[in-house]
Amino acid sequence: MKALAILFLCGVAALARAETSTNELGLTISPGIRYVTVSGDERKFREDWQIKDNWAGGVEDAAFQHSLGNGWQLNMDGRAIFDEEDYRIQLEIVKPEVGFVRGGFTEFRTYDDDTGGFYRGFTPSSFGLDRDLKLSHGDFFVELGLTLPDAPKIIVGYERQFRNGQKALLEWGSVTQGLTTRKVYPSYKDIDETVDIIRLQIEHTIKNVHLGDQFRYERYDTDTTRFDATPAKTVAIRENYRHDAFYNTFVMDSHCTEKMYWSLGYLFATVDGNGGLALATVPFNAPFDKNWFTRAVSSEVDSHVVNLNLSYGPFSNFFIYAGVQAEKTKSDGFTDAILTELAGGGVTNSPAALIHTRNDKDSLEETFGVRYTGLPYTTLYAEGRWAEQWIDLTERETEDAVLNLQRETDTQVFRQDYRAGFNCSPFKRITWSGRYRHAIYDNDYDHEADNTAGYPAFIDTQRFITDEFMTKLTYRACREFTVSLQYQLASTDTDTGTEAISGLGIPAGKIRSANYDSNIYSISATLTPISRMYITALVSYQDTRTKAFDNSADSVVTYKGNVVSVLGTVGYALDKKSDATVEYSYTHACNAQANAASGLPLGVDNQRHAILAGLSRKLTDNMIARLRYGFYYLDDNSDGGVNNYKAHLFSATCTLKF
Amino acid sequence: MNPQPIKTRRATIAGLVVLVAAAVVIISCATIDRVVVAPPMIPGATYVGMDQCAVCHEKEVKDFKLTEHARIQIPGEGERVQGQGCESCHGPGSLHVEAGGGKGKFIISGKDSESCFQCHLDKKAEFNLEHHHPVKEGKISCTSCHDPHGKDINQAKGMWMARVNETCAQCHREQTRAHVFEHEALREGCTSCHNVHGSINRKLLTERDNNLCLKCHGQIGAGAPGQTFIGSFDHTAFLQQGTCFSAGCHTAVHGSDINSHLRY
Repeated sequence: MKALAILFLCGVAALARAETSTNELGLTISPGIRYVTVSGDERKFREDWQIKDNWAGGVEDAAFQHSLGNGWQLNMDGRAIFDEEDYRIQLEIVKPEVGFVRGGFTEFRTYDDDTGGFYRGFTPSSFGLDRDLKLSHGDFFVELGLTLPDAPKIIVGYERQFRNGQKALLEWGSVTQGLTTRKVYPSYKDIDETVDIIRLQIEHTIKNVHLGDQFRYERYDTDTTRFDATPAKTVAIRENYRHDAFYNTFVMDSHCTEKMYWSLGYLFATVDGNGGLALATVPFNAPFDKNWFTRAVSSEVDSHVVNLNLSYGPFSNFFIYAGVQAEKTKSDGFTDAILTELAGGGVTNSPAALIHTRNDKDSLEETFGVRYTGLPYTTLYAEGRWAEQWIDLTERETEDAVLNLQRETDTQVFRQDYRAGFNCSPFKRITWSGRYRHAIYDNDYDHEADNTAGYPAFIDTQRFITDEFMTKLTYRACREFTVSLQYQLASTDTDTGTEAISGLGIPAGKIRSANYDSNIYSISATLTPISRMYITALVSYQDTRTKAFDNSADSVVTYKGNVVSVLGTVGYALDKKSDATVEYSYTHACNAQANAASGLPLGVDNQRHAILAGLSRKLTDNMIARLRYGFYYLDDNSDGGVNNYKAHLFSATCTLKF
Repeated sequence: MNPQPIKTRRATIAGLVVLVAAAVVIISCATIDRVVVAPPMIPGATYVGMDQCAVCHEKEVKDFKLTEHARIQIPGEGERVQGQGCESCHGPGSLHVEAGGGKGKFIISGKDSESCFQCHLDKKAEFNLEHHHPVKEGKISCTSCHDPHGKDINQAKGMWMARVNETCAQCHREQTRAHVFEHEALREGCTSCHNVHGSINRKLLTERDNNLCLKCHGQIGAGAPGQTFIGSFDHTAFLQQGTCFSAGCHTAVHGSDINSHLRY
């Protein structure tokens, strides 16, 4: 990748030199270097800010435009930060109303901390993997397009996406000290994933009707291994999966009159997947240790989706729209596996499992909305969305030809989603908006057949009722000062109906299984006190509470707390050629839990600060130099300070224009 | 907390000295008449109205009334409602028009998330939380997931029509692919469990603890108070050790090819 980036930059430079004589050059290039030093947990710093410590450098940004003659234009832009593996290269050769060739490569890394959970009663209280967990994400694409006027627009493209590396998981393993067991031991996952995509898009307009067809073939290939560990044992779960997917979408739409628009679409999708799973326990020496592997895993999905939509504005200030969408999806799953498990007394069982599942889903969705702008400086709108689904699920599993699982579940879903709102300007310098949403989602499960005695399928009905309200007021006091105030309320009640479980004397019934409330208060301001200075600020406060039904278990406590976020920027023109900026961000998360005696506290109680100060100076008409200093700080009480850090960033960049 | 090593302290002092020295040199010039504006505004540009935009961007302007963002357009004329429509996101267009248009010329790109954050204040704050999609790092933008020109109706565009989880599936195939045993929660959407913009919790979880699962899997009072059944199975001892998904039990939360309890 480095070679490709260097080649690109050399190419840009060579083109730049060649062009200098014509005085038509449009090259901008910003080489830079950066150094980050961290005291404390470097891995947590990387996860928080997604930049690595120590040296990194390269070209932060490069852009080049060049006329190739005869109307053709070459556009290139890129970025290459070495040792960070942060690359972006894009190239385009285009001539309007003729066509284009585009290509590009992008790669960047994400970082994860390697620490697991924290339990104050243990020594040590937390464990780390001593691994630098980093995952590279990227894609490469090339695209050719024909855009001749009065002819079909055709685009053909190929793309490869990839992910490669490791990331942290929340599948924490057991640690036992004395009589206490808590799951805090960290785990991670190896990922090697590619997606190859071939696509074809054709569009044309015939007599005011736009016709379009998009075809896409996708081969997805992934190979992952999860390492779930305890200090004494590791369970490695390797999964590979590959699918071939074909999608085709046909679209027709038209502004048939000034007042009316309609669209029609049809999607066909088919996915044919197969894979494998191997689960290995090391050492394999205790009851319930497993060594599983599959001889075959397959899944097939076929979908048909059709929709029809209409928008109509019968009057200049009244607009309605409506749509309907129907979907039919069938999926089949099959697994053939050997489930080797150590039983007590040194006995090993290895049943052969055959699993079949089938899922048939039919759904219908409807939308209807209106918008009215007849009142002075006011827009009113309302919308309703409804969805009905019928899902038939069949699950069957045998182990050595003995029926282990036989379940048939018919699910009916009914969703209602209503929204209404307004945007207005009641006074000259004020805009005010508000909206309200009320949603009711109903799921009704009918277990026509179930031999699993109420676990895991014990839910009969479920109803989610959500209410959301938001209002925002913006006051533009003068050109130099604007302030916005925003308030949001969200609330969801979940009611669950459960089956009777006769063996345990559990009756059928309904409970309020969860209640969620959240309030968010935000204030944002932009101030330009003098022409050479601006200040922006955002302060946000959110309190959240989720209480799920737990039958008064001490181990489960209400999830509640608050988060304060502060973001600010100051920009100041020091003189005709120099600017200074200071950016500050702060978050304080406070939802610590005090259930260590009977459970595992998982709340967060930490403070993060970041300051980024920069100076830039225009040294010549074609050269700007920038210096930046950053300070980053984390103080985390919820993990006993094991992840705390302080970090300093120094960077220098020079932007050159030719 | 770890003590600050001498190397770090020296680096801090050196950095501050360099900055102060640079500032002193730069501030040597006295009065200036430069005007700076807060990003993402365009210095020197004024609002021109959507009719001007329509001269070149006829289709986009025609389609605007079909978009969800048309709801925020306040009708009327004059200074009171300037900066509506296209210019509410793309910034004042006078310099862009004077330059004869052109991609990125004196216009705020749709990929500049700062433009979205002018209205979506809560989302800006969420992206500043400890765990977030890499928008502020510039790896993706709001338009990677949202179509700001998207229509109110189920527009039949793209490879997936408006179906649940389709947006997330474009990157997170592993989690959204077909499994032999599905987790019905995915029918409700990824947002049932994830705060997709940002969260104080790892993996962008809405709740980090057992409340996340018990929201749906709560069981009517079974056993004595304090005894937690999930269906017919007593989970009391397991809940004490950690969370359903993170305690090494129901680890295949997005679906499993081998276990109906989503254990592997």
